[in-house]
Amino acid sequence: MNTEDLAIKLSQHRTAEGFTFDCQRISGEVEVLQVEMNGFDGFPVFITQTQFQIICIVYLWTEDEIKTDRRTEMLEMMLDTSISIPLSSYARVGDRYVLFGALSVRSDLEKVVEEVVMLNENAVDVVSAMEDFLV
Amino acid sequence: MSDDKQDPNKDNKSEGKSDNKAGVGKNILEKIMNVIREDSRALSEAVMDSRGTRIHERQIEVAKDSIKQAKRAITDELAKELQSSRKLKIINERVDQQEQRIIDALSQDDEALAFELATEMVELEQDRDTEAAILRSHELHLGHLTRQMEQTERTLMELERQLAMVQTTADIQKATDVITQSFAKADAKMLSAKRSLERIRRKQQQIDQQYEVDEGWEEPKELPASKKSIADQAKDGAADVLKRIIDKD
Repeated sequence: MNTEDLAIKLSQHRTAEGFTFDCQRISGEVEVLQVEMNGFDGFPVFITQTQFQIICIVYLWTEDEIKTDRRTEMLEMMLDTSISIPLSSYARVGDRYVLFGALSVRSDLEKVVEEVVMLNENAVDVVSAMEDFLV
Repeated sequence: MSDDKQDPNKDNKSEGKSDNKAGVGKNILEKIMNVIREDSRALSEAVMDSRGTRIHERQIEVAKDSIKQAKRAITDELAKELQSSRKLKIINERVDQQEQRIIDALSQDDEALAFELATEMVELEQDRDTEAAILRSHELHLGHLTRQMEQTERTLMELERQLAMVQTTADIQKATDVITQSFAKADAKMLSAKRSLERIRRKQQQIDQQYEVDEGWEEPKELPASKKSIADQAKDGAADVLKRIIDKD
């Protein structure tokens, strides 16, 4: 399933909870799909595909947004809580902290949908829980 | 290059030995870590230039080629093994028959025939031993080729996994650049986490309020029945219609 196919299928999908998806392709050196969930006010999820994986990313915050004196505490908290977050993990790309989920490129639409919904819910919980570390 | 073709595992093995005991996987991750530490944005180029991706890609090609060759050799060897096995089966059947003939000759006290048959039997047994040795050699060679192919498959899988690590790191950096550029082009900035959270909370509050309104809303009760019956209302209406028509005239 390439990015175009995924965009079409996601746009036509409605979950059992009534969520639908707005997809927007961002063209560049690599193809990226921006997915917004209707029915849940959260963060945009960016989906990109590599040779073996479909990677779904939510951009959380940048280095500039972290309270300098609490940075270490925040990093430790992220390490401590990472395993508790279902299907998602933390990472940093450049100066941006992200929450992401990785799937096999052979995953079907249901799995991608599950990932997008779960990632969005996780991201809201994470930002809410880490709010005190941010300026 | 020719050395590589003969042994696709050679580069990988030596690389593993020269790096550390933890294996080549860690080595690639260490390279990625070094590039990230140096704050290079051009990860893919950096790793490619520093004995990374490019070499792995070549090794992958060599390994794939080696697997193809091994598969062909295994097919040939399987055919030879089957042929040898059939030959041996035929010889064994002939040995059994010869043995029966000797028993028959001995039971008829025909020692001369028995001796002649026994002489032939010696030749047959020599043929059988030779063929059995050939078959064993084919089996050994087949086992060796299979193990070699499995080893190359494992090497290939490991190389591809390492390459995927490098490519994923580079691709995600590129994707982030693409997203950031897209936001810049649209003259929109990615909201800070706190502002996003505020927006989400405001929206959630609106939804909660809407729920409260929805819960407070009651289904309209049945309208009170009009004191006049429908028949009476029709009579009044009919009188009005008549009056209007008479007035027209």
